[in-house]
This record gives sequence, C-alpha cells and structure tokens, in this order.
Amino acid sequence: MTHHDTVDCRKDGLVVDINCSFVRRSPDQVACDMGGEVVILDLKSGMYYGLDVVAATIWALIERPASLSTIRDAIVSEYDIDAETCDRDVLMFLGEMRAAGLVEVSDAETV
Amino acid sequence: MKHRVQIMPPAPTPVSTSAIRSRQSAPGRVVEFELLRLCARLTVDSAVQSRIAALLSHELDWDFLIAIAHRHRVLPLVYRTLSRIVPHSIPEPAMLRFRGAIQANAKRNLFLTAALCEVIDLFRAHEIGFIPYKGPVVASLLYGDLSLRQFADLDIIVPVEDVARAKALLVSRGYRPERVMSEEQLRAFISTEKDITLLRDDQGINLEIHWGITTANDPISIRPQWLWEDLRPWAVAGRPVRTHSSEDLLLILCVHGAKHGWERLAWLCDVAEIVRSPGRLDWNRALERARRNGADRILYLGLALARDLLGAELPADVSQAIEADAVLKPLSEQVKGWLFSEEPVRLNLGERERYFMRLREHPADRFRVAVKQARFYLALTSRDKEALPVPQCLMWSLYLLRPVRLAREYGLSPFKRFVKGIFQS
Repeated sequence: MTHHDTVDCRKDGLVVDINCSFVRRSPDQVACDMGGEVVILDLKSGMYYGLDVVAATIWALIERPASLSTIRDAIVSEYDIDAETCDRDVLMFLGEMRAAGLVEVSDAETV
Repeated sequence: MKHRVQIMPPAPTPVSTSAIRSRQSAPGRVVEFELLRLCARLTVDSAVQSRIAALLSHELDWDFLIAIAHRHRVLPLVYRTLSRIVPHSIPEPAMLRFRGAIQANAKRNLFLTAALCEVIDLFRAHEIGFIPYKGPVVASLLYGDLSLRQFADLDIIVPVEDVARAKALLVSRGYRPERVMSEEQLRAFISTEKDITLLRDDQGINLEIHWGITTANDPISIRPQWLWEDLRPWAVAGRPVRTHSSEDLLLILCVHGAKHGWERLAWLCDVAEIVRSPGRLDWNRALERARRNGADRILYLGLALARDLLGAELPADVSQAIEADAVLKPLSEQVKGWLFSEEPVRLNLGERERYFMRLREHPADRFRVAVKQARFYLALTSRDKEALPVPQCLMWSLYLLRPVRLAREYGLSPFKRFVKGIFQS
C-alpha cells in the first residue's frame, strides 16, 4: 500500500509532509464530549462546531501533539479505509479545522 | 471514511435498594429515584448495570425521571449511563428530550467556560489572585469533561482585599452588580457576607465573586484565608490556574452541600467522584483538614450519603467513624428524605435551626449555631410593629415584647427544642 509523503490540500492551503508534520489543538478553543460526538467552541469567534464520531476520533488523537502519520495509522487501523483515501480525508478535515482556527499544524512536535 | 464538521448555532457499590425504598416521601416514585441514583455516576459496575436493567422492566414515568434528573443537576450523567447500558430501552420521545437537554447544557457550559477564561485573563493581566471555584473546574477535574456537570453560573474566589478592584474591573468589561452599593456599603457587605453577584445581561451570565464560602448564618465558618492554604495546578481551557487540593475540595463540597441540606444529588456526585478517583485523596490529610475546622460530622455526612446513595467506597476506618457517630444515621436519613421528595423541600426556620445544630459535633459549636439562629427570632418584623404600634421613641420595647408575642402564638416548644438541640449529642 502506497501513499503520498507530501500532500497538497490547496483548498485549505494545507501542504504538509505527512511524516514530519505535527498537529495540535488550538489553545483558543474549549471542547466537550457528548456521547462520542464532540462540541467545540472557538474562543475567538464564539462559533460552535460539532464533530461526528469519526472526526471526534481524530480530535481525541490530537489531545496531545500528534504526527499526521500517527493519526493516519490510527484511523486506518480503526476504520475500513485505505491509507491513501485516509490521508486525503484526514488532511481535508484538518484543513477545515485549521481554517476555523481549531488546530495548529507545524513541522515540530512542540508547536 | 466519512467525517463531519458542522458549525452549530450558539446557544447543558451497589448498595441496598432500601436506601430509597424506605422513603416515605416518595412512595410512588421509587423506581425513578432508584434509577436516578444508580445512573448518576461516571462508572457503573456490572451489579449496578443489572439493577438498572431490571428497573427498566418496570413501568417508568420518563418525564418525571428527566424532571428530577434536571432538578438534581445530574441529567448528563443519567443520560450517559442509560445510553451506554440500555440505549434501546429509552423511548424515542425521552431520548429526544435527553439529547436536546444535554446538547443545550454542553453548549452553555462551553460558553460559560469561555466567559470564565475572559475573567481569568483579566484578573491575571491586573495581578489579581484568583481560584476558579465549582463550575468548569469541578467538571473537568472530577468528570474529565465539561459537558458532564450542569452549572448555571460562574464562581471565582479572590483575596478579600481585592474584591472591590475585581468588581470594578468586571464592571468596566460589561458586568453590572446585582446590588448597587457605595464603597462604604461594599466594605460593610464584605465584612459580613461571602460573595457578590455580577450580571452580564447581554449574555445571561451570573458571575459570583467569592472571598469566602460561609457567612455567620451558616452552620460552620470557614476562614477565607483557609481557602488559599493548599492549592494545586490545574488548567481551564488550556489556561494554567490554581485550584483546591482534593482534600480541601472534598471538605468545601461537603460544607456547601451540608449548608444547603444536600438538596441536589449532583453535589453528592462530586463527593463520590473524588472518593472514586484512584489515588486522588490523602485520607489522613482530608480528615485532618476537616478536624481543624471542627467539621468532622459535616465531612462524614457527605461521605456517608455518597457511600449509601452513589456507591462510593470508603476506607474501613472512615466507615467505622461514621457508624460510631450516633447522630449521623438519623441525620443522613433525614437528608435522603429531602433529596428524594417529589417536590423540593423548603425548611422553615425552626427545622433549619435544628438541622444546622445537628451538623455540629461539639456542644460549643452547637451553641454558636443556636445563637446565630436566635438572631432570626430576635430581629423585629413588620408583624411586631403591626401587633403593637408604638411611637418611634419606644421602638426598643418591641424587642422585649417580641418573645412574649412569639410564645403566645407558637407556645414554648420552639424554645424547648432550641435548648434541647444544644445539649443533644
């Protein structure tokens, strides 16, 4: 099974090296779990966001800074999905989250 | 893989079942109250799961269950337990009501947490010490999730000398004091009370600034300085804060619950979850902190109720101490009766006075409580003035005549109970 090392998600401006990029939750949000789904409040905009169960799984994985490859591997092992599709979907999701200011992506674990 | 990011519009040990079955106050609602206490916990062992499943075979008034879960501020816990153990036993209309209520609660809690963060940032920028109290801190500390506890307002403790400054800062940020006071009135208020309420009308926020947790009218006095003695690091929405140690939090929760007659099961859930958290409590320290405040019985009452109703397992020596206090058994039965009454119980002054005195183990403390409560009897009311209209210069005479009027109207039994209460063990 092959997948890209670098993924370009131009719609959201997220161009990352999947093996070296780390994702963490933004400090400017507060979130809670509701039976597997997650509600997030962006402290800057005052907007609420809802995540379904799969998105909530990714959210749980980035409770501490996590590499994209770690996220992808966890999702692939939990859901019936190939790595390439997973890369694309995870990056699309994280791109939306980053655009909303809910996550930060960087090439260092200490972001 | 499908995922969804949806923007939402802005906007909540197995024990003997006789614990409730014996309640005279709730004869027709035994199943609902039993379900309430079995579900209002984070972890449910197999015996409790079986008991819950068995109870659901009975005819159940779901509307009443939801109503009492809300009244006792445990709706998120009850829904969480039911939806995990017996999801298919919840009728659709009840499921919809549960989900609507917990979604509203979750959004409200996030909103209040965001408001608390603003206050934290403000106080930190102006170097005002603070301890976030109850609300989001207890939700995250004890339940690990902001949505699992219901709270309606925000509470924050500041040093007594910084109350006026904190209030002025918040007023400059859009809050208004619930009671308008001059600086002199505020100083007098601070000397006798424990908190002031500020309102943010445009956002529906009630924020209480505390400098203490008890007043002279409460059954026990906790010094404001005591609240700052044993603090631990914690975080609210990523912001570093200090909060009370588990041992102090346990006592604070027990004092708060006791003075309000433990009218909400949620307060006992907090106690039970502290007790249940592995390695969280230093029991010797918790008992010592209570003893230094003369609050042994108040602590033991909270622990006994958490054990009996919510299955919190206590160390053997703590359980022995509870059994050794002859007052605790009837006292806890009295509180259980209030907790599981179909309508909230409102104590009259005499009942409150007797309950407060029973909370204290030392005769000297009971006497102090009695004297405080006696002030209610001595203070003149409009009825005294109506019963014997006197000119202003003779107003003092009403203080002498008030006991006579009360004795004629109510007899001597309140006075006898007052004296008896002091000398009861």
